[in-house]
Amino acid sequence: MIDLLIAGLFVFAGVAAVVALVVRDLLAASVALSTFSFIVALLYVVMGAVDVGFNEAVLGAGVTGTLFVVAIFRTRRGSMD
Amino acid sequence: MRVPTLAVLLATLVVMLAAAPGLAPFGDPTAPASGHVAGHYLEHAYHDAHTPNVVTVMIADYRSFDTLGETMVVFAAGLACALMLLPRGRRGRVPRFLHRKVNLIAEVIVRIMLPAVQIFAFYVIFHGHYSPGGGFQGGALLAASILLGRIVLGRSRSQAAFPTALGRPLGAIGFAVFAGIGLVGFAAGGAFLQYDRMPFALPPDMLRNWGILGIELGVAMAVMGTLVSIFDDLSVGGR
Amino acid sequence: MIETLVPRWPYVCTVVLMLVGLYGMLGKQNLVKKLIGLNVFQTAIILFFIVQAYKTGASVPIWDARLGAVADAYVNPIPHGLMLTAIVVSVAITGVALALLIRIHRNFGTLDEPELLDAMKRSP
Repeated sequence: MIDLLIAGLFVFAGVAAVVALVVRDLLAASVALSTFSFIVALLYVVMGAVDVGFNEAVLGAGVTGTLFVVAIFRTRRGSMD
Repeated sequence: MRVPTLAVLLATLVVMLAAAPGLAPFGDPTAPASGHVAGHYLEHAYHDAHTPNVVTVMIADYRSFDTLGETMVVFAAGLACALMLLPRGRRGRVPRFLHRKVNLIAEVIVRIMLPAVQIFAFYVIFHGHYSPGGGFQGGALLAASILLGRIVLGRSRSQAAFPTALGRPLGAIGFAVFAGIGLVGFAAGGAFLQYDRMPFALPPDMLRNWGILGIELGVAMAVMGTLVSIFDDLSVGGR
Repeated sequence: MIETLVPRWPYVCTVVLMLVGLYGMLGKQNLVKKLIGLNVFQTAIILFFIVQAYKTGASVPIWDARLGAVADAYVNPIPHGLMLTAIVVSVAITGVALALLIRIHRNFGTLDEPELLDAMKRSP
């Protein structure tokens, strides 16, 4: 049962990572990266790493996403590929 | 995808899958990584430091020197951001998305949420001995609350709550608190960062408990100050 | 080959995530996408260590009076401690990289690699 949960979370994480790399709008890419961070935080908690999951949720999904959005606002929002 | 990229990816895949059978199976309790020192930490952490959270004891007591180095890395990253984005000429102009009139709904919700996030952050720092948490998580939560204030509440109120000039000194003070607690044990005759030689009248495991709490506070201050200073440099610096 | 990989299937998933990150770093031409690829790669490495620390049927590494001080009842805590450091360092790296990107955009006006190379050739 827990194997099914871990496999499902890995599939979601893979899809989120691919979406973050493929979309042309950089703001959407940074939101997809935050989603990827959050799903991976869930994966850490399911595997018993509760401290690491807490850290990843706060830093990855929160702070890194905010820093990306600020940098994209100061540079360019679209990308060529 | 160009051919060299595809070749590198395929080569990496083949090498990693060929090396995978050398690892222990998933979930194996007799894996070599889980013996020796890990068993010692799990069996002796509560007895040595009177702290249930073994990961906190490990990073703040048994391996506190690594944590000191990590705090130094975070502070150095904040300095690197500042050096690359020094304001030129007059003090940097604030970008428009931090200035514009904010949405009333977002402002009301954030004004209710911010104190709750900060109280939760302090809870996470102090309760890191007994539940998942500790200095890094609590410091990052405090920084996230300040960043939320900067984005939604506008420049004047957010700067009144936490001025930009306070960020980096707070990071340096956090690092100094960490190193200072280490030096207290050093001055009293033990090793650097040895908490049970601190000159207070408590049993050794309670001294280690309080030493862990002290350095977690230092780490929280360092992480909070540095993350807020990185955000301020990225949003304002270099104009 | 397959029968040795099946009981190690989370490692294979981690390798796939690493390859997604590597593709982002090598195959994309926008610098922000390369940074996103770097983040995905770092997360996959951290996931690899956490997968290594898992023990079936064991509890989280917080001492519980009902389980006692038995090492086999808890998940291995050493990779957790190392990966806490790794996550904070990855955030610091992302901050410095974004500062670099803002400087590059300020100097050359673009963040896409072909335009960037042209602008670098034209300016002294």
